Amino acid sequence: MEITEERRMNMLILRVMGKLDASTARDLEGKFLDLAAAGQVDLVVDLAQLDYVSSAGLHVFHLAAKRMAEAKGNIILCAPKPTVKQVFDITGFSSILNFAASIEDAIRLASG
Amino acid sequence: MTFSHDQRQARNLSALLMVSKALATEIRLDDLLHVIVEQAAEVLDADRATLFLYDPDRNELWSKAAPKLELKEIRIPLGVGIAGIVAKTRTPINIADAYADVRFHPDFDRETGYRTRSILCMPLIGTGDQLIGVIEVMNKKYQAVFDEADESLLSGLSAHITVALERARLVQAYVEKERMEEALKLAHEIQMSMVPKIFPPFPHRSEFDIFAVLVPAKEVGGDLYDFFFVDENHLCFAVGDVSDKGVPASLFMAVTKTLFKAIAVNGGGPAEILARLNREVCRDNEACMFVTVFCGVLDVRSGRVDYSNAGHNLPYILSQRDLAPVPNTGGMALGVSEEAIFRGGQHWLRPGDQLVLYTDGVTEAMDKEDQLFAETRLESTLQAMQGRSSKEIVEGVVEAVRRFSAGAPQSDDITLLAIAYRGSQDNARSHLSLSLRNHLAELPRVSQAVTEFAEKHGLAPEFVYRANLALEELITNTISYAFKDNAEHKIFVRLSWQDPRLELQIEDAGVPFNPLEVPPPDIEKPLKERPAGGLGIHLVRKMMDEMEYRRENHRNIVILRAKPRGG
Repeated sequence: MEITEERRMNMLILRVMGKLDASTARDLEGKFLDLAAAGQVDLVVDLAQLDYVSSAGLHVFHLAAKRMAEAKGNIILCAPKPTVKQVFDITGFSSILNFAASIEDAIRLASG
Repeated sequence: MTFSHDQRQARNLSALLMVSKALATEIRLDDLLHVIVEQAAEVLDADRATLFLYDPDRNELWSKAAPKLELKEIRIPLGVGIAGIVAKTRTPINIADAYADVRFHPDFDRETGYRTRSILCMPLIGTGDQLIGVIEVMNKKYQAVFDEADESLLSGLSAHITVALERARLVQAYVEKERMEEALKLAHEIQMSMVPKIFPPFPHRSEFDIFAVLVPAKEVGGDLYDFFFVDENHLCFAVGDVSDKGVPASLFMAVTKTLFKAIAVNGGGPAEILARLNREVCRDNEACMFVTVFCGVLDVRSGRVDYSNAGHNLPYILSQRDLAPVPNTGGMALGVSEEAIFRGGQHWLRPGDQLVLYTDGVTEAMDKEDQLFAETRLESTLQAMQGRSSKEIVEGVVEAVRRFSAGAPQSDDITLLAIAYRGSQDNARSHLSLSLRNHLAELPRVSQAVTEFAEKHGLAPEFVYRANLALEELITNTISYAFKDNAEHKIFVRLSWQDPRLELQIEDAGVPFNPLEVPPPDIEKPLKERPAGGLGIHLVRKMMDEMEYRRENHRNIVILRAKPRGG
């Protein structure tokens, strides 16, 4: 798994790539905690290049979403591959996390 | 009527020759005794003769060769009566008038109404100065008495009688030994004719490899083994041991084996087979023998073994991972009680696993210091041969026992039956096995191996994703919760693809955990109320078509199956 950051306007875009499994989830969790601690509570997470997610990854998104919501922030997940999206769907996370089809949609959604 | 000395001498010599000829041809002891008394009486012109044999165990004389007496058997202690005194003193006695002699006991006369007058009695002394018996002739004909010529004649005759008796005894002992050996040979033949001896027995079946051997002890012990297909996919097999030895054991073995097959071919699980066999064996068991039997049925497609035990040694499962006996199902030996209850057990053989059945002739084989071969030696012998063919394993154990006994006599039959499971016959099936440490850092290795395996078989990415996800969830679960110490443990993963189905197996020796018992999570709850956890098993269920769990030999075994979905 790789994580890159990109800033567009005042929105932070986090790009998560590769495999998000039990052996890598902790790294992403650490990243979210760092951002929350720095007051960065509005995030767009680009999943377009994420190939794989398991329940360990779901927990990280779940945890991050709760943390940001507590700080009046928001996380928007965007452009997951169908195989990845299916995992969110099966576990009911699709209905409690915010999704967008593209980064542009996500930014619009966050700004609106 | 009187004879001249020469005439008499000639007659005696010819009589002696005749008797010795008769004695030489008669080798059966009973017939010989008759010939002796008849010839002795005739040669000595006596009214009758009696031969007493010495019984060293009771220090008595006995006779059953007194044909004119009604008595079947006469027994006389040494030193009592004329014959008893002759036997004791080993000196001949010649009495002209029995009733005038205090040594004479008139009891027999009184009982039989016979009137004894003259007696000539001689000891029979064999080789090594052993007392064989005494010969007694009574009532010289024509109212005469036994003279010195008679004494020398009977003395000469006695030498021949002694030789004939000794020879007859040797022959009898030999015949008895022969008869015993014939019986053992018969028992051996009965036993060996009952067991299948052609290997490989099913050359066209590649799912398993079977080999068995029965090494009978000299005194046949009544071991048995058998195996046969009850239908196209189920191999029934058994090993047993009868409680007795020799011909009765071999017959009981033959009956048991015949009944076993007759019952087993009708189908039914091993517990049912043993219960029915037990009732049959109990029915006509007047000899009160019993037989221990371990019986199993192997499904050659899946490696599943159903088994049941009737008081027999538990077979071993020899696998890459370990060596352990199958768990006991209780059950007493067959033939003891008609009410006996037999339970069934199951074990799944994986390709490469060996099932090894044996009888106690293996573990109770002794060396010259009376030490037992024992389970420990059997176990180490088996462990050293992991991965070998059934034939090599069976012959290896027999050889190990032989080396251990080092010429000490084999007291019981030695029987071994080994079955190596090779997996389903379908050659298109392919396997991948992984051995992992209980560490999350192993996960990339799993996913890498699964992806390569999937590419090899051209599986769709969607399908590979599901397989990877299900495996990761279960392996992560095991790593996180199965082991309560900080030590390193192994987790075994096995993939097999048989178009169109993928089977995944995860095995660990952690605390019991049945994923089937995990309740489905409530996925409708809002963000804040959602608990952490419980999603992994839910995902596995959704990703796979089937999930199976069993706890076996202190191990958790989860089997997952799935087919590709959609286009």
